[in-house]
Amino acid sequence: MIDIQAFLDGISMIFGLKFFILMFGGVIFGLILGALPGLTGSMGIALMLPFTYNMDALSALVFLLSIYSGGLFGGSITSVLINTPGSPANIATVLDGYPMTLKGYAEEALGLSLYSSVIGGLIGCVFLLLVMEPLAELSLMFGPAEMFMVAVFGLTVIGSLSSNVLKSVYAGLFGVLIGTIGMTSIGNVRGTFDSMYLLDGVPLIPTLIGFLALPELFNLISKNFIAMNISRKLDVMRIVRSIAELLKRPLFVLRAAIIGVVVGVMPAAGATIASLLSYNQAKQWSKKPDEYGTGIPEGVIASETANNASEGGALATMLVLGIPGSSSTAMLLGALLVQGWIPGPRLFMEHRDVIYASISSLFIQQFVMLIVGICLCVIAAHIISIPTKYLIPIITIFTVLGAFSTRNTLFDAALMLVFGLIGWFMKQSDFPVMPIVLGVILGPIADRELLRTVQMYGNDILTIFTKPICLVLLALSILSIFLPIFLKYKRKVAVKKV
Amino acid sequence: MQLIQRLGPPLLILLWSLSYFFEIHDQGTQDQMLIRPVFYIMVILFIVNAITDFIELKKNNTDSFSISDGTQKILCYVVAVACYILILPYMGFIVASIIFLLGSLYLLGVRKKSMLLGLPIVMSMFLYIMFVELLQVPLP
Repeated sequence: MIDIQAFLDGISMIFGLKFFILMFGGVIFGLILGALPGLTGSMGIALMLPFTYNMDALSALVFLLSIYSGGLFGGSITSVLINTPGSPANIATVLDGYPMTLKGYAEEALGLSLYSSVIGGLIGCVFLLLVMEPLAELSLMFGPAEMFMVAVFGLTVIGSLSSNVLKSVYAGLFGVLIGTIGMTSIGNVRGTFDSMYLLDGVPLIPTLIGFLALPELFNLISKNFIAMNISRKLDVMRIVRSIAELLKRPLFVLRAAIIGVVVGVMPAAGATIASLLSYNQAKQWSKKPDEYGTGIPEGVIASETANNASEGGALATMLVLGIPGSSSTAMLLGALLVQGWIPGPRLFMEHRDVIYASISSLFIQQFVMLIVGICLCVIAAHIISIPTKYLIPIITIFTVLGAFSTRNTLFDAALMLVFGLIGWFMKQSDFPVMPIVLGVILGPIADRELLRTVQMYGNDILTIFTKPICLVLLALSILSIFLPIFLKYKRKVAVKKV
Repeated sequence: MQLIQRLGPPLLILLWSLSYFFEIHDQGTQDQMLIRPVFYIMVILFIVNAITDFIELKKNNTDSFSISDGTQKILCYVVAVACYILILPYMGFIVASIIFLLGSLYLLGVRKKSMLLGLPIVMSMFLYIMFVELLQVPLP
């Protein structure tokens, strides 16, 4: 349970000018990187890791955690403004954030993203403090069978991402196949067609940018501005006032945060799956699910609260067990190892004060992110008043650079363009592209964990459904598929009666 | 014609999936565990979707097919981006970006000379400084 004294001692340790400079610098750096398509907070941590060699452990942790926090929100700015998630964790924000911009509510959408990120991050910190060790022990219960069921549960979201379930599922399965390209865990090569660039699989960032950003960019060619019916004058107060939408929905926000924390605990699940599951659950339990995807505040709140709250869960697993749940936490783990520390139960015994101080800094970072985020939102919101004939070529160069910088190869930029074309043609045929991206993310997880499950259980594979977590996830998956159909039928009957 | 337009992209995807399926056909069962059922479901979904699209188009009684000016502009822009990616390794980032920006701004309707010449140069230099000098991210 929470050690209040250690937490308060931690707060007093980081209340100094040096740590405030590190927090502001880290958050600004993470925000900018997160906002650039193709560059992520994880990359920011990787870039800055060498600079932490000469820092003391607490300074290094505070700085890198600030980049991590900033990066999670930064990616939502481009999600909202130009339909381009800055990182995979912001995919779900695109679903309602960008439509809000098209309707002329860009300032509100940015404000909602910011406040949801801050509140999600704060709730994640609270959970991190309160239930760090039980949360981490929960993650140990997730073996290959459980992770396979997590992937299956995630894939059931696909059907609800568009009004045409058949087309959504078709697109999602295409994504799953793309995700299986590359070398398998047993050394066989699939789907590379002898291209060495695909041996490691299809890179995620070019796929994201290709399927999500480029089709929208192409569609903007026939428009003069991103949103046609807006006043040119930016209203900063609309960004500030949007907090009212969150305060009207306290239980909704809490539910999204809890989903984020629990999913964040699962190894390799991360902020992406957290935000998608939260969005899907919000849609399924809504009285007006058809409004999701048209630009409503709930869609943005659900995804951004969950992805920032998952930070708390992921850090619990990393700190207590030394198991990184994502690339960002893997790099934070690297930072601890550079300092000569071994994450795990002994870390709390030997460096309790520093660990609690860095957790305390997470609280303060959320407020730093609020201040810096409002300034960045004000600057970023001006983008929608720039004519598209100037915006499109500039954004294109950013996307090409973003795709290139993943592996320093132009093959990824070419792949991004091919996916962009496929995505654009599919949209012309009324096929949604978001399910493809989901399939690409979850397909490799499902494939890898299914293989491990079969290797573990052999012919007795059905015994995995005697495990409580697998059973719960199976029930949730079935519910996720049939509940929307049932609720839709109920609403039709209710409308007919009226 | 509209049916071909509607079913063209998913058909191409199905054909790619078929080639992928045949490529791994000779590999072990473990490599096909997820891919095989996914492919079979895709075939079924394609057939069902083709039938529903056919019925819907028949109901609306439409068979018009045309390539709009908007589509032509988009395809020209895609070619421009492809050319940009192709020339990057030969001309370097700054020169290739200036040429791309100049060409695409003109394609999208910019005619002001100050913007046509100034924006590409300023933007290319800004990106170079930001990525290479500040972020230490190498450029092509």
